[in-house]
Amino acid sequence: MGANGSSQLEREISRTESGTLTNEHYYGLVNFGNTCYCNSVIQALFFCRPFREKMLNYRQTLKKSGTSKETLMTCLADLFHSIANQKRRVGTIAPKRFITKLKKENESFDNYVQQDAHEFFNYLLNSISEALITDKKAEREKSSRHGTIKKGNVTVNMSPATAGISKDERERNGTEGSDSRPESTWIHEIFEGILTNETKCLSCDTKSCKDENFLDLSIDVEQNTSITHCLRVFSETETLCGDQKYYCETCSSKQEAQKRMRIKKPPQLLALHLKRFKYVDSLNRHTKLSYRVVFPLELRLFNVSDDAEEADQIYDLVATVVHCGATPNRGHYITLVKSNSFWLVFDDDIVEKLDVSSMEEFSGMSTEATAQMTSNQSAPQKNSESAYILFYQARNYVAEDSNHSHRPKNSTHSV
Amino acid sequence: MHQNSLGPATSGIGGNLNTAYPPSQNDCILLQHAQPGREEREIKKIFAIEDGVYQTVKHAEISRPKPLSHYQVPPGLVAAANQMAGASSTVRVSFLDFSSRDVIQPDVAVECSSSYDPNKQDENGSPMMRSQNEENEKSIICFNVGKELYMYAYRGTRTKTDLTRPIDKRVYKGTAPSCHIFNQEKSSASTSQLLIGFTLGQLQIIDPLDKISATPSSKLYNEDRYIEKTAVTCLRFLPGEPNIFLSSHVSGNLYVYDERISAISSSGNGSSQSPPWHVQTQVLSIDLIGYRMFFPVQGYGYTTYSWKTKHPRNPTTRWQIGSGTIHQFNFSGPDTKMLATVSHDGFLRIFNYETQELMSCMKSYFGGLLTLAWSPDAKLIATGGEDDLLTVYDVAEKKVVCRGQAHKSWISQVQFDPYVVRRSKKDPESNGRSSMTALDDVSREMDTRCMPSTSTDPNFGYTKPTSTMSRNSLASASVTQRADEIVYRIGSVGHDTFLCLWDITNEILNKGNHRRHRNSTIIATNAALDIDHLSGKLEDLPELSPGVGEPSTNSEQPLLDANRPAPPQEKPPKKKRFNRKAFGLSKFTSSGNASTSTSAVGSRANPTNANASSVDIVARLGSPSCPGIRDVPIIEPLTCKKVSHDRLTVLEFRKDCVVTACQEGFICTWSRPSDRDDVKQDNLSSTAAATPESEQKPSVSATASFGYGSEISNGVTGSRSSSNFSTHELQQLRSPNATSPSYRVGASTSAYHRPMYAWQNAN
Repeated sequence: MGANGSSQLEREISRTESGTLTNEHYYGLVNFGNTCYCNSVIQALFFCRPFREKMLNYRQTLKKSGTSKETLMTCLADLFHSIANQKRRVGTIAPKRFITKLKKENESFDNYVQQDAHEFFNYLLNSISEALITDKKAEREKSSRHGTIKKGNVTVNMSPATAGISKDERERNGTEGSDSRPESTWIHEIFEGILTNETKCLSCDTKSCKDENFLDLSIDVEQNTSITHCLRVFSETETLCGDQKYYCETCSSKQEAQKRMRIKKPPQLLALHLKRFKYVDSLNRHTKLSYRVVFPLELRLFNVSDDAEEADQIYDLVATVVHCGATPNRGHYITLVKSNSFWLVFDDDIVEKLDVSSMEEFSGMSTEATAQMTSNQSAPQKNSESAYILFYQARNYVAEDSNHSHRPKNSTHSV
Repeated sequence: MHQNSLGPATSGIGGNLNTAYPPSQNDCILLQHAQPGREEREIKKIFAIEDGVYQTVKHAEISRPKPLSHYQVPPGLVAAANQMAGASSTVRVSFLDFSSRDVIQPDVAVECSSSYDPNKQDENGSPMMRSQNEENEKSIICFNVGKELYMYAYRGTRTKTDLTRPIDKRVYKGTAPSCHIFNQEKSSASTSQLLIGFTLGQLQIIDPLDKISATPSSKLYNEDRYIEKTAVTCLRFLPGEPNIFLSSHVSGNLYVYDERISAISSSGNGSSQSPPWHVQTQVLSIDLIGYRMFFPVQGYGYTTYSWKTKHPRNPTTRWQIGSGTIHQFNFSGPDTKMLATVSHDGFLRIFNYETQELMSCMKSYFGGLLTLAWSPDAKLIATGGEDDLLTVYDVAEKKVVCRGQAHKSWISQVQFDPYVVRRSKKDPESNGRSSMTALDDVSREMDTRCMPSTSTDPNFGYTKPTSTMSRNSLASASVTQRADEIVYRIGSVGHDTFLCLWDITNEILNKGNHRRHRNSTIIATNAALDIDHLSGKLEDLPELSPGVGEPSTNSEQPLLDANRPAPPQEKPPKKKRFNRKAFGLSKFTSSGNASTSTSAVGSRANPTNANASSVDIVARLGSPSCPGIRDVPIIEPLTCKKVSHDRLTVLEFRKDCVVTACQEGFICTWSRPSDRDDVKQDNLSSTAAATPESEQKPSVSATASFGYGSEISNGVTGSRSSSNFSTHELQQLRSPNATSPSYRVGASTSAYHRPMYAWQNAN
């Protein structure tokens, strides 16, 4: 890396860009000791354009309002701002304030141990949306106080958002621990989709649907499959029987039922988390499934419900967080990012161009021998660079486009 | 009790084809997705379809001399070793057949197909075997693994190769062979010409048979990589021009080389660093319209270049096609020089090679297209790619005929099997005759079918009035006798290590004209499997019953149906509803289901200029060249079997065998169904063969309509009785007022699947 490396990248970029007047900045992030889980997610989010723009806007309004309270979000906004406003197009930057803040805010990240990038991603999204909600509340309180003083009769009706997220087993994180619908922020605008949980009682054939919001989907992986197939499997029908029998309202008793989970509203930015870290009982630890799961640069969802809007929405892959290494605890995270017409690899402070045709190398390992991790962990696990979080952005999605009027109200209904 | 629940269960919420995991028999808590059954993981060395048994020939397995097998090498080392060997280049196989140039001519093919047909074995069986032998003596197989290239003598199923004694073996340094092809027309018993492309873009012509001459006749192109730096993805010789060959590259360039032009002149005297290309044809952009949004995308077009200089030099022409890798290309046949390419941008493009004109193109459902194959008659193109779908495209009508869904990952190679064409699946007595008459009728029918489409507007498939539809279907019904007649057999292999075989029947080809329908091999799409539909609404019956009912109609009057189907009026009124050829569709369009799908289309912009010119091709979702997922039938494979450890990269249909190869460099030769197998299978399926109802077609229909049913009757559950029962129950569930015919379909389903099941167990 260093000056030579980045100047070479600069040359390469200018060669490929020829003519296009984009002012993208490609900055590597310094690793502060096993913080690649953090760097990789930040880079991916930076190149999710809607997210970045919202973040930069946020900083702008923050600067205008003059509040100087430092949160994780303001640190990230500052980091984004400083990357976007560098003179040189390529270089490295140290996200020191952000990391310090992160470690202060959450003690589970306050160490030098390798963390799970997906956990961090979830934490980050949640803390940002929380920050936004508190901001909103503060503003509303301010204005309502203002209002009551001035006019006396203005009461802001803070209607509790349509409640009713299903409380039953919740495999997917993202909307964890919410008994009432959290307020919608731009995080939800970008990442949130709706899953519909269809259950059919096998004795009376009554069908019921429950909607569930998600910010990302955690997908089981299988050897030598595609992400398309894994999504299909995700929405396969499950039979609830035995202990898991379903309480049917119509029958007023526990019955066997069938259940499946399909996407009702595809999100604008579909974050797919591949469940590569699997707990193995016999080993009493997590192992990594380096399965080869190929992912196309373009995606449509097959597992949408019949009443879904934009069921055939096409997505473009914009970023991928890749885990390298054989085990969850050791290893490294890097990020593949699409910017303009080309792809880049962000490996902490190193930024390199990536040939699209070599994307397939990040799918994982294909031979079944490697799948038998449980039997022999001493086998060398070279080249287990495998995609861990995929970011698919809906085509034609413009961040400024605020006509989300058709966004469905989150509701629970039974048929 | 669990069995009881299986019936409604399968019909209930199943929206997916690949629901191959049976509910476990114990008191399951939740179905574990991530743990496919044993059935799924086992590698099949033998499998049966209705034609008979395909079986790997053990002694014909070919690999590198010291195969890096997982049987010998500890886990993990295989991948590491592959990595070191430069496994990033795909393993490919090419053949040199000295006496079989005319192998894929249709008339030959018909003869072949009938010769291993169970019922024609006595007449044709033995002569074919003899000709096979002669041919096989003279074949050479060439394959690349990593940086190595091997050539062995190949005798099809009779191959007994001493792996330590290859005809030729080459190991390259710094670059690895990425594809290769023999020049059939310039090869003889003593000389041969092998064209090799490399990962760094170079091309080489060698003669592996030439061991004597002191000056090896090796030629190099693009040696200094001035012309092209990216890997060669595909090579072809121009049909009828043995001196001209083409190479496609990762960069999206396609070069035409003429061997007669000195190779040296092209390989750079320093001057060719920036070749003075002259633009010949330029079509910069195809208007690609995304859903709801219009945006022309640069780079989806193509440009061809030739030299400004007078002196011919190599490469003579350069085509820059689309954006991203050209994964494969091929010519339509020996005389019609249509060139089809598939690219990473997801487009299939069909060019008139002579005029360099883009004739039509097709867009994948999503993602890149990785492979293509022309049908033997050049009427269809099958493609496969990153959407995991097999897509069959009608070249003349410029529309997608159907999609096939079974692969669990990207499809790496599709091929038409030229030796299984145009024959009837059933009806043993008249088979020999009908296969010939069918040929006539198919072509006749195809011609009539093509006529209206050229004149009608592109909305043909969408807004066609009901009257047209029914008239058409009536017409086709009278011209072609058998809807289930197999017109094409397609094979596909994929990154999922599965081999799938697909039948394209007349019915699919004909009904492809209609926006939505069901037929015997068509899987109900998500909509049809919707819980609502399955809850037994009466209005859904017309839509769902055709697939169920029609075969039963056939089974009752097989002879009548064979050549001249009875006029619909003569049929008992009860069956009218089931005969979708004549009635089903018209009624079907008026059903509630159709209205939902038309409204879906209505929300999209109309593809008005889809046929306007070959240049302004509009490839939007919902257009004939990129239909929505519910706009065209989705077919189910005849069979889908895991046949390898590693991802499959090669599929070749040869006269006497089928060849598959995987990325690890194992090449398997599969024997085709033969007399011997037929006997065996007859024994196994004696129950099935005994009763007239047990024709094979109905089975597919019944299973296909319910998605889940197929898996069950394939024996996955491991319980014969359960499959029988559940299918039966399905029938009743679906159509409460259906009577004996559909019941019998259910019964025959399990009867048919018995042989397959038995074989799997026997192995």
